[in-house]
Amino acid sequence: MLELKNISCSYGRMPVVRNLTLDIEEGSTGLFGPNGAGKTTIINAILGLVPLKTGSISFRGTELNKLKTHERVHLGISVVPQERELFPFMTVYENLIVGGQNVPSARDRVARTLEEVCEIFPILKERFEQKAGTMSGGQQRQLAVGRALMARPKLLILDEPSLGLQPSIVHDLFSILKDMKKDVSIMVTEQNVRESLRAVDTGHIMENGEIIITGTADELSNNPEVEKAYMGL
Amino acid sequence: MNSTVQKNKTWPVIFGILGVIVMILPFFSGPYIQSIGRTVITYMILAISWDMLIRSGQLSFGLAGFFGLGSYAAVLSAVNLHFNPFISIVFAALVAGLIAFLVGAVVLRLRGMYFAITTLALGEIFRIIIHNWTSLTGGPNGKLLPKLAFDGASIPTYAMMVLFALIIIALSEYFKRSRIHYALTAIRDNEIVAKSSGINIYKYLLIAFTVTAAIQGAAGAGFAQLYGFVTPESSFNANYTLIPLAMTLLGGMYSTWGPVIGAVLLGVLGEFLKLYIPYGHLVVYGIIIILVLLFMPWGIVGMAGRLLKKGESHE
Repeated sequence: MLELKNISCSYGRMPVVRNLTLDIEEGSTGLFGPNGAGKTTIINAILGLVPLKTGSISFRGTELNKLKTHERVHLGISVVPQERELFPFMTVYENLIVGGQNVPSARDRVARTLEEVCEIFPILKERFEQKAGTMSGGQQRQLAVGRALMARPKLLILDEPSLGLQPSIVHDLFSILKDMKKDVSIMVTEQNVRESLRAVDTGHIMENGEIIITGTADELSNNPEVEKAYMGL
Repeated sequence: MNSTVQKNKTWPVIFGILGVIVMILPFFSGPYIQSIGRTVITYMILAISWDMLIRSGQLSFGLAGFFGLGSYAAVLSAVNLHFNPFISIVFAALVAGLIAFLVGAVVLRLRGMYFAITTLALGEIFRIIIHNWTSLTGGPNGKLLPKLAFDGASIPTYAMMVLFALIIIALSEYFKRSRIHYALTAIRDNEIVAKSSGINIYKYLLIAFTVTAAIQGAAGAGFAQLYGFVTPESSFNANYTLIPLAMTLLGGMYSTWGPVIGAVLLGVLGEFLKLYIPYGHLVVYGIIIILVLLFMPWGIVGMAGRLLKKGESHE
């Protein structure tokens, strides 16, 4: 579905992602690793927010390198950024509408998608008139996921969705993601490996801009190296 | 939720009715009041157009530039191509819009202060070109119109400006209710997230810049048709940038009614003050703006909205 071939990215002279090749299949994929491993940089590269030094990225057969960020989103890639990154002065309703209105393939079905999103996150419907910036962290995360779903993506990318949330909310969120993967492919980057492995089919462990371990969720759960380094066992 | 929506719809209607009354009143007075009305409406149109662009977060100081360009386009088309006054206004809007489109394709890659300073410089470049292209523009002496709209009759020209203002108010409200509004607000709130939500930032900024410049050009053309002459110094005067900006800040940004209310209040007050302290009215403008920014940064409409919401939450 999403192919990253030999990509390298750097900030100034500092390399962050080194010659990385990664195949994201349909279903759900986890990208795990500590701070500074290069997870967010890969997402930014997929969106075209960070230029590639080498390599190429293609999505469902279309090369993304020369496409602008909004054109990549129009192809069916939606991202929920790490810091929730809502439009804080817009209402919940407006945030959701913006998510669907600007993607040609989703535009005609905004009303229906809105209902579907509100079924997944009922709290959003109750807060339609509230300014997004005044919501709690967990609600903002739900809104960010809801806004991304409004684009009816083929691939939903979530950048550290558990960041700054209390464990019970993280647990609920991953349960929702687990349900959602029937309808949309999901790629999630996380430091919280234990919780994430519940929701993904396959996972990749990153360190210093490189993939060091790849396997199914079961394989990673039982890998002693992963257990020791990322699950605190 | 329904009652809130209902209340929110009531206030624009009240503001609208008040606005219509204020616009109609000069019809029942003399030419002097109608002349003030025309000037206030010109500034109101400029203020609304400035607000329509600032909704995207892009601060433009290019109002006087496109205003002057429009006024010259109207006069030169009337003199050289014998366009009638109304066609010349439409022509001026097209010229200003086309130039904004071409210039915007380049300068809209800039953001914040860089964009603001570039638009200010653009206005100055337009003025210098007009000033020095003597064979076409008449140079520093300017140009005279052979014939004024409605032969300069006071009531019809005032009616023309009222109609013009109503069209711009409707256009601004359309902007507020369309997909453009959400896109522009998203761009203002967070450009990276806007891009990541599928918004073609460049396209929407170019639409907003082109449409607002066309409005400013048409306002300049209307003004030239009212007064019958253009000179570089009068048509590209910095007042056409600064006064609409002050009016919008007073009335409240990011709405149609903010600039309308700001223009009526500051415009009428300015005319009144001119009688007692000629040129000193600009000092009073400055003091008002400082006070508004310090104590009422959301302007009159924003403050009224907040008070209303407070009142509703106490009910």
